[in-house]
Amino acid sequence: MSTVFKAATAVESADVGTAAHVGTSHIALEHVAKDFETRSGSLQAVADVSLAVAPGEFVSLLGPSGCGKSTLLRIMAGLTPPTSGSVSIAGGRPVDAQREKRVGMVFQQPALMPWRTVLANVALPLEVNRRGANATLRQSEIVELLSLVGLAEFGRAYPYQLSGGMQQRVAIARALVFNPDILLMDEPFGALDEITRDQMRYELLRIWSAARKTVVFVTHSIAEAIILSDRIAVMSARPGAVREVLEVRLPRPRGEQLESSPEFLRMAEHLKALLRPAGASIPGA
Amino acid sequence: MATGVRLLGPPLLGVAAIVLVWEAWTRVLAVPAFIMPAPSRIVLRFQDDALVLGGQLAWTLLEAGLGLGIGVLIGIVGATLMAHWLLAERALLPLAVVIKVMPTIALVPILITWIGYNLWPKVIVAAIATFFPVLINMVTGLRAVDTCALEFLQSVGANRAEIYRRLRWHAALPYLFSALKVAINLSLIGAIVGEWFGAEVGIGKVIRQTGLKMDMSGMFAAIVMLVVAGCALMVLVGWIERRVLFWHASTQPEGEGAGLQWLTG
Repeated sequence: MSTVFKAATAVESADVGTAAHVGTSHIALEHVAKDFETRSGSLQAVADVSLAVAPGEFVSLLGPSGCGKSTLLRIMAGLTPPTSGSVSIAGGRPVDAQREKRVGMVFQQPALMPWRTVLANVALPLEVNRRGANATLRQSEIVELLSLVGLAEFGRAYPYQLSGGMQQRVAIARALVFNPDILLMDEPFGALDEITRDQMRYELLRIWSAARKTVVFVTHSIAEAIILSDRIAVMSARPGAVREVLEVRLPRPRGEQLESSPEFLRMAEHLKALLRPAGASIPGA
Repeated sequence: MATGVRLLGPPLLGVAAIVLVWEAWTRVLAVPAFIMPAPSRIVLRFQDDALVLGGQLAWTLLEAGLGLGIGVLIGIVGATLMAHWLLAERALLPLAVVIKVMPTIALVPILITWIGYNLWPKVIVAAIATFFPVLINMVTGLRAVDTCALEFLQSVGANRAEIYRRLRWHAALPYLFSALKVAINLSLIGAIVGEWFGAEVGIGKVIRQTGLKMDMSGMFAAIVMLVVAGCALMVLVGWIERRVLFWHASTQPEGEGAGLQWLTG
């Protein structure tokens, strides 16, 4: 599609369905645990998580609130260190991957600077790293990124003039500005309304197929996880742990008709059962 | 034009009603002018004295402006230190509170003894009166940043200086403008209190001298001059605020009290 995404196309040929079995993992977590010190003692947020993500693979972390999936993502981003276990991102430590701009992040809130135009928001990571080698993206290339997320016309708009979904698309463009290999997304559509949210899923699939990245996507929506992912890591809460990793064997490209297919529904049922707390009974079920 | 009437009509009506009652009261009860002059008399006196008062006001505004500038600078620098280092907050905040609660009136004679009957005691009093609201508001503003925005900047490798420049400073600006609207009046009061104790020029001196001479209309004329200047400054700050903070919810045209934005910002 453009010079911006050249580096990522190499991984496109990987067979994403079986990517888990490929030896070269892009993200590797081994026995990762994270404790938080609270006033009432130590709280284990994540307990012994091992997970490997292959280049170009789309993996979702699915689980209820408070299962440590965001913590896990922040560990991968190098924003917080694990208490124990090892983390390898693109072959190095998370902090190094971050320094080398191999990782882009999208948060639950768009977190745009309201005093900056859309263009200036997307360019902000470049300004912050002006001394970096990689910081010479031109205006035209930023416009190209904006057209990738479908906002080519809105470069001069301010965030408050955009809808929530559009703002989150700006945040996605901003995460792609260094052309990272890895995209970490922390419930990026969690704050959007249901209708926008549905649209954004397919929008993200379109962006992902244009700029193939390794994606780790945190969500608590079963449908979202199935529609988007190659694999789903189902997490349980207190302490957060991976209960099961499921492969999503649904053909790509995926469209909205998928959501009424029997495979989709079967998968959703299975995930729902997995997410049900052990021993809990559902009234009327 | 219609919107002008809609915006300016109600406040003008409010002022007009008070002025009318006041005028009627002084006339009907024949209140002597050296106790309570009628508004008409004050207006006439204001017309006579406008030029002289304007000159005095310019001096007072200079003192207040310098004091405000110094106070705002101290407030911003102090808040920046306090928002970043807990030790700075522990060391500076009690000091700031002590300086703030000291009655500024009591400081003026000391300052005049040290510095003399010139501009600077007034400037210092105005600065002491203004730095505190700026300091407190800025500390809050510098800290009240969006967690996601903060994490995003950290995730792209921004250091503390860059986070300050790209995020905290902008996020604190609405708080700074709120503080400025309070501080403007405080700076004028500070300058006048300073002039009260001895000054060659200034509105404070005029008020004191007319007071000593029981020249009530002269005193009221000076007060009117101050009120006009204070309102003009408030409108000016509001105008600047709406241009700087165009992105902030407080400057959006909808919402409560929107019709009086020109006055309150």
